[in-house]
Amino acid sequence: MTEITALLGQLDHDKRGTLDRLFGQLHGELKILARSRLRGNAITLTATSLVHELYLKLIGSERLTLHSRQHFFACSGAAMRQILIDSARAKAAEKRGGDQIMVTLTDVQHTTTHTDILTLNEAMDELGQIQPELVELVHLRFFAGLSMDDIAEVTERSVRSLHRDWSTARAFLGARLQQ
Amino acid sequence: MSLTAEQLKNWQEAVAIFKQLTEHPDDKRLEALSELSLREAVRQHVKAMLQASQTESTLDSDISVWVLPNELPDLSGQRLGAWRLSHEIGRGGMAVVYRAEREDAPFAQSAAVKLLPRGAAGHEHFQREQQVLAQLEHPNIARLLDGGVDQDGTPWLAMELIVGERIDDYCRQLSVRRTVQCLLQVAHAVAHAHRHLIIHRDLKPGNILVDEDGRARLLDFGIARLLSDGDHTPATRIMTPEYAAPEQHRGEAISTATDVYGLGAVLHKLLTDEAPQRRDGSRSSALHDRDIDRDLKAIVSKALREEPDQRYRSAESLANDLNRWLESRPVEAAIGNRRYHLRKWLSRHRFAVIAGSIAVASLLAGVASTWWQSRQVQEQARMVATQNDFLTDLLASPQSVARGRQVQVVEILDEAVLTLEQRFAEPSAARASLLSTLARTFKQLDQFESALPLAQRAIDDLETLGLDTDERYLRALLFQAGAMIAATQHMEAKSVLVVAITLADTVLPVDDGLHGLLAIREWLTDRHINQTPDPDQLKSILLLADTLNWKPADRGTF
Repeated sequence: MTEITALLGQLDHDKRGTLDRLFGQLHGELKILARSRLRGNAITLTATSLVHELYLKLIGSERLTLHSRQHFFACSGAAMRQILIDSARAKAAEKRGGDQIMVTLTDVQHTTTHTDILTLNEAMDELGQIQPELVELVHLRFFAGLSMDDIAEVTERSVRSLHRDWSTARAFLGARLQQ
Repeated sequence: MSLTAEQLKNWQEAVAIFKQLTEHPDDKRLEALSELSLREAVRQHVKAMLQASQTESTLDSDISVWVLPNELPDLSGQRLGAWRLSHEIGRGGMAVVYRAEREDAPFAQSAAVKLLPRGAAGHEHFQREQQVLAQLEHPNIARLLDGGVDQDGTPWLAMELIVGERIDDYCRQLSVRRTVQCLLQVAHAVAHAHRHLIIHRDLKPGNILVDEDGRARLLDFGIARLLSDGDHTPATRIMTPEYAAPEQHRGEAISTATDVYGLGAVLHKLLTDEAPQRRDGSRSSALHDRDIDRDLKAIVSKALREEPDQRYRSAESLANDLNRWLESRPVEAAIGNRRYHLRKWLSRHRFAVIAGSIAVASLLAGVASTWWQSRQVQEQARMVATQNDFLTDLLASPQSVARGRQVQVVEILDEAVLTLEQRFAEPSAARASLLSTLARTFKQLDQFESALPLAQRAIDDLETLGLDTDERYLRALLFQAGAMIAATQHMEAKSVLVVAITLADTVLPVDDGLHGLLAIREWLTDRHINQTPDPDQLKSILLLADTLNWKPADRGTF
């Protein structure tokens, strides 16, 4: 737990290596958290509620700098994305076992939309080639579930310009998903 | 997959342009785009983005993560309320079902206890809904016996235990009649629930079991709603895509019409072994492709209409129509289909109708000329075969081939008339049919001087054969009148129609669609003779058309 806050503090010195380790830590914590919610039967929860719960659990009342908070959420969003992709891939390959976390987008009864996740993932990789900062925005907003106001605060940008970026990212991904 | 350098360049440009365009209001963006000079690929990209920005996206909703334990622990022996779980009997995407026995009852009572995902429903909402559902009593609905929320927050429901087979498996070995009877039970059950203001929302074969005695039971009534957040949140997230109604896919309000669709969807599956929609979202064409009774097809299509208000008004009216079908009476859907297509046609030609112009008149007249259907299907088939042979021979004749592309359709037709005379020396139904076909073809080419004598000869043949009270005879007269109108011989057309209408009144059922066509023709001739357009009369003809029982043959005409 403290390891994550410690990592967040080290970001200024060794950004790249620290980000990788942070990602790995958050990835593991999110899965542990999801599984800890199980008892007896299956549960549904939203991706973003998991991220927020993790924030409360790991950071609690500690005061983080804006910069650290941005990294926490961006990194958690990316980790959430990875979890969803892994599960979608496992599903696509009809693999079972392990710690199954199934992803559903539109309906609870069927898990048919794993291909959507994979397509979305590819489209996000493309978006990363075109304009990497838009990918981070999608991580923050869609995968970590931050509100526009929260994002404006941690990124120190105006809500208006964030909205423009979001609608651009959304339109690009939408266009790619429809193809 | 990553983008190629070329693609990357195009998309980067498109993204930049799109950002600029967001400065404009939504409805001005396309216009602004058209004013920019861009490479075509870039323009297409921006267009796709603009379109995507207007449509609902995956990105608008929160992703649900459905966490399943590796191995569900065995809950056998545990107690929930008054129920002791005995063993697992089923597992779906939503829940685990156990067989359970009631412990506090003086007599043994079994139930299927369903454990739902934790946090799936608010406590109060869950209890309120449960009370409503408990009141639902119908021989074809599995009763809700009990329900509650466990200490750890797991909602559970105890339902009447049904031992049976899924309806689609059960019906697989049944005749179409028996299948319809089976679904009829379900329709009655749904109608009963609707009278109690309860909508099922998730009708599908998996939710309908048929027991040994052939009694169908509907399961999981209202569960979808139980799991929704409340009365005003449509439970669109809980549905089965293949069987869900269009409004559920669109996330719109749900009504009893949603269940009418569901019933139609289940019937679709029972009749064709396919759901109306595939997993990938495309529509199944099985209903069209399969050899299923036309009226039954009409019933299924009516239940499955895209617009909720175009479906059956209620599950009960669907049930009534299925009953009519079982009793071999005319079904509402077949008439309704006609009305539906007529309405669509009228709305497409709204302008022309308002103008009361000649365009409408000729369109209506065109409807009639496409009709040529014999009552006797077998005879029809034989005749078609004869005609086909004839036309094939004709087109493959050395002369036609030799003249190649130069050959004129009219020349072939002239030749056809000669050949016809050689090959069919005696009057016959087939000859009459061929004569009419040729006449119609000439008429379409505006060769009235050739069309009219042929039409007359077809009529003569039918008279000679003593078929002058036959529907074919009426249609031949109808065609003749149409050709005369087209050739501006209105007085002649009028006298033919007078004969035809008198005959139709004596030999046709009152609701036969042919009456409508004759009325339209008569209106046309009157109009021309009097030279004064009469929109009111047209309106009454259209109203008449609305009440007639049109034959499926012209379904595609409007």
